Amino acid sequence: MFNSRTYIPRATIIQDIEDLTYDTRLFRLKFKGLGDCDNSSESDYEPGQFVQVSVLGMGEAPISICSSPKDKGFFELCVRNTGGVTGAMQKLEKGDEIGVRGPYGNNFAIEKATGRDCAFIAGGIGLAPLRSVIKYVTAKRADYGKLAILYGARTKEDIVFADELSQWAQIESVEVHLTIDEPQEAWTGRTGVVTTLIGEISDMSEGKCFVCGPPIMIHFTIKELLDAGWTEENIIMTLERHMKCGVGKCGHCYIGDKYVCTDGPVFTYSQINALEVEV
Amino acid sequence: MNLKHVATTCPYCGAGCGFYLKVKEGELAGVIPSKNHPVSQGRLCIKGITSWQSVIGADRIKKPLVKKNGEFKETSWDKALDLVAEKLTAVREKHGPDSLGVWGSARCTNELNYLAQKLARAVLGTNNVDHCARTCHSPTVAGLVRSFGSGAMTNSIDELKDSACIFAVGSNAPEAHPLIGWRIITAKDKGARIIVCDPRKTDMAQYADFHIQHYPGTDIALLNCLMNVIISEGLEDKEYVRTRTEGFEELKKAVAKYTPEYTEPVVGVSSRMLAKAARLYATTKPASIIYTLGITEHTVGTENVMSVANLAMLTGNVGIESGGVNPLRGQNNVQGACDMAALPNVYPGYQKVDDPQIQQKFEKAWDVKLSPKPGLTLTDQLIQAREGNIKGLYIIGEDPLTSDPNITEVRKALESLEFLVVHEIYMTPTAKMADVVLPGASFAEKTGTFTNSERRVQLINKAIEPICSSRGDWEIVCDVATRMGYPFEYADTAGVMDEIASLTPIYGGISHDRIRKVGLQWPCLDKSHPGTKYLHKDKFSRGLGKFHAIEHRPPAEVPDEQYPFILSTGRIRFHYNVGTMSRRTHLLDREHPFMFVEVNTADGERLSIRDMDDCTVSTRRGQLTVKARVSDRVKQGVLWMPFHFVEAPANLLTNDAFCPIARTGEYKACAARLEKAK
Amino acid sequence: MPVISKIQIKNASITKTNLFKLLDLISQEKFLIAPAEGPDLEDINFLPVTGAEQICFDYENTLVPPKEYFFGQSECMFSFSPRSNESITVTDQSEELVFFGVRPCDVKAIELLDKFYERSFVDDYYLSKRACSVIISVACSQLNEECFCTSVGSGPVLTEGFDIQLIDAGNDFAVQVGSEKGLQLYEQYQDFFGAPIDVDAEKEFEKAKASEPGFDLQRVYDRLKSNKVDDRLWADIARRCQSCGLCLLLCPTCSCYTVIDRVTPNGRNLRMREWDCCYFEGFTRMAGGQNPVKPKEEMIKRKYYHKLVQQIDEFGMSGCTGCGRCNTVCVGNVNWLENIRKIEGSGRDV
Repeated sequence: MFNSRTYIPRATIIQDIEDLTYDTRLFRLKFKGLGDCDNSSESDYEPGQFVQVSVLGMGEAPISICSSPKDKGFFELCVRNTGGVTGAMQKLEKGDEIGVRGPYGNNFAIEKATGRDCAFIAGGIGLAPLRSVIKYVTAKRADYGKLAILYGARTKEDIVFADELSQWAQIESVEVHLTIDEPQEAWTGRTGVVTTLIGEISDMSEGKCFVCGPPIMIHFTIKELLDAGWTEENIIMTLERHMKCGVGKCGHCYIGDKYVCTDGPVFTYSQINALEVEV
Repeated sequence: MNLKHVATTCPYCGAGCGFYLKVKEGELAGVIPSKNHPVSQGRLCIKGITSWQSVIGADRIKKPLVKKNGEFKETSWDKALDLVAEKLTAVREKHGPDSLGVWGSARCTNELNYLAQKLARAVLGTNNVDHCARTCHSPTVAGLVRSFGSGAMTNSIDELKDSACIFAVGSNAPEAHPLIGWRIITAKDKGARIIVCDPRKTDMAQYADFHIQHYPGTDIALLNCLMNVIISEGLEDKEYVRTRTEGFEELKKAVAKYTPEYTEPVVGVSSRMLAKAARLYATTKPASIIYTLGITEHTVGTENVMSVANLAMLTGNVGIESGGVNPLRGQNNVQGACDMAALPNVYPGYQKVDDPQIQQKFEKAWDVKLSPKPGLTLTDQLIQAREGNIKGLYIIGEDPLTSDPNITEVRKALESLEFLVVHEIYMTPTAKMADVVLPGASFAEKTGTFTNSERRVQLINKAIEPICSSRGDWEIVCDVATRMGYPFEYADTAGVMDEIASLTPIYGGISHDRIRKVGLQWPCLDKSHPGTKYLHKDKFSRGLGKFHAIEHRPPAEVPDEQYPFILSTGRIRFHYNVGTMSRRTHLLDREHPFMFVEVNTADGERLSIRDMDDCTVSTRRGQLTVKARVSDRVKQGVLWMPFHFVEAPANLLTNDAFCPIARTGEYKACAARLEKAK
Repeated sequence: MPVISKIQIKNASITKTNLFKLLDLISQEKFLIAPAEGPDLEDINFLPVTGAEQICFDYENTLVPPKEYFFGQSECMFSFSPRSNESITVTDQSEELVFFGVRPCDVKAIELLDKFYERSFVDDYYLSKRACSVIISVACSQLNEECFCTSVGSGPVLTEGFDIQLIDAGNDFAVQVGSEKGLQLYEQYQDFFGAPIDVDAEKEFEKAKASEPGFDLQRVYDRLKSNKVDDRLWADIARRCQSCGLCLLLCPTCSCYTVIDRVTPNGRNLRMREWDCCYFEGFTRMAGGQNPVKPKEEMIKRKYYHKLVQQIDEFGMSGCTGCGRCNTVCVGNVNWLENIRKIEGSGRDV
């Protein structure tokens, strides 16, 4: 744990801020001082986990960690401005303080993908939590089969981690496919929603597919994947829910008989079905 | 463990629920419902249970503010009060007493309202005193006085659950008065028949056996039609009509033409349903009528009220238990503010200012010469301010710049003033225009009384110290009066109530000590009087109940080619009036954070407006861009907006056409245009 | 420190006169919370008392459950200065409280909350307040109009899970001490207590059960779990529900809350947690405006399922303790007991 008491945030310092798009920023955070828990030497989070970010005076918001546990001495959060806490974070500067609690939630259980093909399908900001696992698997490239990244953004201005997408494309047996919703000036790539890219991974349907994005995108992506022969067990996704505590107490994310914050946020599609959740 | 419960009365609607404020270490920490309270009986609505959060916003006004060069500067109470006294005196000397106006408040206590009208009458020397009932239930007072002789809810809230038939017109009780809604649900569970007349499919309408979805502004035609059916089928209570009422023949003549067939196209409801509803109401006793602002907020508001009274008398339903005509008051103390005569034409207890005997009584009691000339309503004060005849206003706990119709004109009126002083707890648009703003204490910080819709006078008790340096508004008024040379000397609000009781027959037996437990319903004539559960038993206040012959008149503004929709406005469950308190309550604002307009599905399709699209609503007075909520809640051709959102005030659009008798604005019907936002 | 560590039940007795004296002494030596009459409206609620004469001994139950002392309607988690996490000052939770007069259903509810707040991440706020409290509960000698504790196994007399339980036996109370904390209190004031007297709690329980319009919890569980409830039931409740939230806020086992950062009018910065509930639409609405739990029917189903299935699965006890408060406070006349019985019978008429 980063923090020693359940509800008390631990101070981090903003080491660096990168503007990824007009409304999305990447924060690189480092713990302030050495406490009784620290990730400077050994990362103690897993890809897929999240933290409760606390801006004192504004409140808290759950944000996925988007760096890899292989990154040492810092961790990163990708934050889109949706008002409230995330709005307040747009006003912060390098050297400012942010409180964090966590890491919370389960993880992508990436060990289950060892030796297998992995596809990552992301819509918009949904690339952030997948980035953590993509960085993880590319750092241990030999342990996995073929990798494919399908990414859809609304416009070319909405694309996050553009540099990293092209870097990943350079790695051996990693395919990266990009699309934006509508044709746009100075865009020579593909257009259409991200589901139009699913044909590119038709040979990988025995592997694992990680899906992350807005609800409507997840809805159609899963439909297409099932049609393309992926099994419910192999489709892995994250559920987004309103949450206040992150530790299974406040009740906001309770669904079926699970708490998304402690039992999730990562679920296989077969688990989601059992919960009778509509996606 | 420093913890106590302090009994009080809810500061929101006129139902007047009781609860305890939980006070921990001297600070508000919650609300505890009360099982013993006669109205709430262990229950509360979401506004009641969260009401404690509404008064502890970070932006409470902390110190008296005086405007200098367009900017507010904090100052001491002494300096601010000196300035107010000095400016009011100066305006009075320069322009005469009738250039001043005082607005009491339906949100504040009886004691404050009594003192505010006393300030106007005894200190400033004018009857220009009024309050926001003018924008809601003034037609009720005017209309029911004409019909029955007394302008209040005839029966008690709890009686509703035993009604055999409930006839609700222009009232959405489950949303606007949830604890009255509870009685309606209970009545229905016990087998009562429910008739709802409302242009919208409101929450109330879903409990209806008959939902008459008439066009806004056609209530008289509707009610006349029901009476037409009742009379032509001989269903009226003949004995009651003969012994208890007058004017029946005139009524009969007036409603003769409103046959169901004639009325159908006027109101947009099938003649069969009209006839069936009329029969059901006439043959199911006791039948209780409830109505709210859907009746009053029209240019024919007073006539609407009298029509409602006609219907109830025709069937012998006034003066009986679980029957009656029951206007549900919208604000915690709108009944009390009327009773206390924050009104231009009467002294407390509806005693006329132009009656020389009454004038004499108050001159003797207050030891001052009083004006026999009825004053101006707030509607007319604003008009006269624009004309240059009203120069100074003293506004207590009201925000006309959000709440009054056509706020562009209200702004002009306030801009024309030489001096404006406002008591407030938060900075409202009106307070921002003031020369002096005085921070008032909220309901949790002072002791006094509210009178609920069923005439029950109830205590609020001080639970916490006034926040920052705010003060109880009754004390502020006392200090201003004293500084103007007429000392208001009261040890506490109980002392003010004793003076009220001595001068106000209907409050004659009321004192703080007597009402401590469950309040008392006026008329309560003396210290041994038990209060009055329902009015007009055996005899109307005016002797015989009077039927009025009334003709339907359309609203001042009807749809045309340019503005083809009828726009109506109202309240939603999670917010309250101008939102000063409910919007600062995080649970309430989370439930409903944004302004919207309700659009019928067919209209939405025709204009390519989908649910949650941005769209622009315009009238001859202004325009607003808001979210569309597309559904079948409103009829085709009708739009509906709530008025709680100060960032998109519906009253930028509403029509400042007024009921000629009660001077209430036509909030419920004006012509509007709807477009998809660009 | 564990919230409650059970011991083998120790029996004793106390005369009513002695009980009064004992409570009088405790109220002077410690903070005593007991049923007491509120001002003006005279409702009975749990309030701090400073003398036994303030205690109301003749009451059914309070409208607000005692959970508010451990999980408050509004409580400050910590205060802070903006932007400085080091300025965080955590609210002190170490006040020792003695409770008198808690009813068995509410003791059961607290037991469930203990389990809930202890599992996975511990909730310091709740648990530290629980750790420094001791509860003297009083078994019910009659069933009240709205209650149905026997159907859910939470009364009218408890067989375990209490600190000290009193059972009315005429001139005396039979006393049962059931936990370490209870024993400590008992030993501290041993002089007030007398030799065990004979009351048959089991018999009382069976007697009460026979007189109650009960239901078979197992069957209710099965119906809900197998999703065999007629949807019209949910539709009826949804139509009645007026979104006041009281049935949940005042439920002795409901634990949902929201967190807000509040600046007080005099400028203090506080992180507050306040009661919240799943019948509010904003409870689940996300930042973008989507709401995964939209129709009211879904919210209602979730509540019934949570209390009568999920909590039984997770904690081995019903999430409803039969106190009946939700019926008392409903402005839509939703009757939880009646609805449970409809659920119970739902398979039978198909």
